[in-house]
Amino acid sequence: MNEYAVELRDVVKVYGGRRSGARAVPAVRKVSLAIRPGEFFTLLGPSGCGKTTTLRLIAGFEQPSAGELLIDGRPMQAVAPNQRPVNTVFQNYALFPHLNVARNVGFGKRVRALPRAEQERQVAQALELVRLAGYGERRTWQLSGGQQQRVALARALANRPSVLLLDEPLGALDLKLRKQMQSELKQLQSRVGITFIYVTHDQEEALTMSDRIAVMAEGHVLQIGDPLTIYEHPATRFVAEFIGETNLLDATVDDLYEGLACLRLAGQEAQVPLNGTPLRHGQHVCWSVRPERLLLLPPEEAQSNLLRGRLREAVYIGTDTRFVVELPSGEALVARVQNTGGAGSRQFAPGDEVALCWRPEDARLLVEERGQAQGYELLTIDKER
Amino acid sequence: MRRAQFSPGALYYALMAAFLYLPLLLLVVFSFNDSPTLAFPLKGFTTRWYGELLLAGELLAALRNSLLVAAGASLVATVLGTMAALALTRFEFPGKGAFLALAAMPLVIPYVVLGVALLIAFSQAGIKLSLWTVGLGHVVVSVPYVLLIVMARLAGFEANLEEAAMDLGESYWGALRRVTLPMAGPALLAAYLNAFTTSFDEFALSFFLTGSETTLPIYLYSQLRFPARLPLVVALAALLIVGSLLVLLISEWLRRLGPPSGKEPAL
Repeated sequence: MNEYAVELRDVVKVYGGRRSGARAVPAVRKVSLAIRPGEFFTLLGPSGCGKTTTLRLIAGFEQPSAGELLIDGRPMQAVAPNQRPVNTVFQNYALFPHLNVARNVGFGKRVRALPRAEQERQVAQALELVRLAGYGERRTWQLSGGQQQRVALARALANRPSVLLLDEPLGALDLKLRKQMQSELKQLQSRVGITFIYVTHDQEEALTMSDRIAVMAEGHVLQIGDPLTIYEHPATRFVAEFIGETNLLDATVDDLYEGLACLRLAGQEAQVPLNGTPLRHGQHVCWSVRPERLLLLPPEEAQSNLLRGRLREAVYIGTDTRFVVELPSGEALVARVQNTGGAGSRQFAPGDEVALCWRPEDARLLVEERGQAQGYELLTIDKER
Repeated sequence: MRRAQFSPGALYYALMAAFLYLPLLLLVVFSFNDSPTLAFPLKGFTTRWYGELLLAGELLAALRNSLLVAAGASLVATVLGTMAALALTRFEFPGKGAFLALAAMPLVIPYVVLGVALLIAFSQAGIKLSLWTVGLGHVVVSVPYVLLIVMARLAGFEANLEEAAMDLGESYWGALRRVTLPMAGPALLAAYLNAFTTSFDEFALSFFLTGSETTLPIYLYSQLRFPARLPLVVALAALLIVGSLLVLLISEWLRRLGPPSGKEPAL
């Protein structure tokens, strides 16, 4: 078996240009990915970041302008979509409305090459896999959104691809159904053992389902890593902001010792781990700390590593309370405190003087995105490599 | 509030319908009138003219010519128009807008002008006028109708159905055969019938391009010089009205047939 199910090496895709007469628009800029067999790999980013284009390049609907694409170790240049060992679940499902459910599922070339009885058996099997047994005779447009979604999944899986491509497959479903389908998809993937490449703009979806995530923006891959790495150790400011809620703060380096940077901001001090980032005295840096890692205390109880401020707003959201604290400099930080009840819980009112505390290891120094000319790929880190 | 007994809408509609259909109704009435002159008062009921129709050899030959030309010309027009519709809805190429405008041009050029132009072209090319030249002329004027009808259908469902077919292992031609054409099928038939009626009653082009054998409209026109033959012509016209109405109904029914397109919302 090949080391990688899908490999992209410096793949570039530029739309338009000379032939069409339109202005050249780069959609994917020098993307390199190495996706392992059996992996649930997610391309995550805002709309227009190039994630869908990357998927279409893998499917063969688009040809790379430069770079190399390999599937199962085979170069895919000049291999038509119908010759590739991949199948796609489209965002709008793309079910054939002139065929019933069973004929949709049995549409693939591989299934049709089988004897009639075997075809029927495999179609039934695929429908059972997505819990739609007995729906074969229905028309596709008589099904609910979630059911159509599953037919699209069964149709792609019946073809036994070595890689399944999913383009925001849950985007059209309502929240409850989406949550349910997320866990179903994840279970299905571990059952069939096929490599999934999943495109989404929903960071929560990406974190819940993926083995690894590639965060994309403006055609670049900013960071590749497992959900924990992406969330806990964002490589860039964009990643930190895009994945979950975070507090981003500007500061200057005051002192450096024992792997910690002592930062100065708003006339106060903050300690942040260096994690190997080379810094010098007086340098301007950006750092972040997640709202759920901040502790809200009355000022007299706090001791070290704290920022003082005034509580601007407290919003009760059931499981948590969301506090907005304004520093004397005018910057605002968000803290999320779990409503555990009992002895630990405290009452604060807007206007109170408060202190925000955190463990130094919960804070992150962030690299600023450089100009596009220098390329984001320099910043791409893969923790597992 | 308006009184329920009188609605201006009904009056408008009645006026329009009378204007459109009274002459046709008159035609049907005279076709059963027992007199060779087309004038009131009516003389009595007869089906004599319909009977004599069956014995009018030349007239039947002209009818047969028209049916053949219409059948052939609409087939060619449907194939050409469908290919152009596929090009315009599924592919990007330079000058697409100009191509669409050009393809729809025969809709706005007067048929008389087109007839003269084709006549010159054929005689320059040394092609003898015959039913074939009439058929070619009819292809030219039918293609725009086919193009517009088929384009509307193709634009109605997502191009990614074809991508899905290719993704599942079909070649471009396989996707066309198994997805695009079956889905556009009713529209293709409707386009064919539309082209058929266009060709069948076409006069101006046929007048310029016809050879020794004539189509029905040309033949009917030539018969107007013989008053005795007039009731036959009227009877035939009445039959054609019924026939056209049937074709129109079938074509409209076909256009509405078929599964909903991909763009319509799911349940």
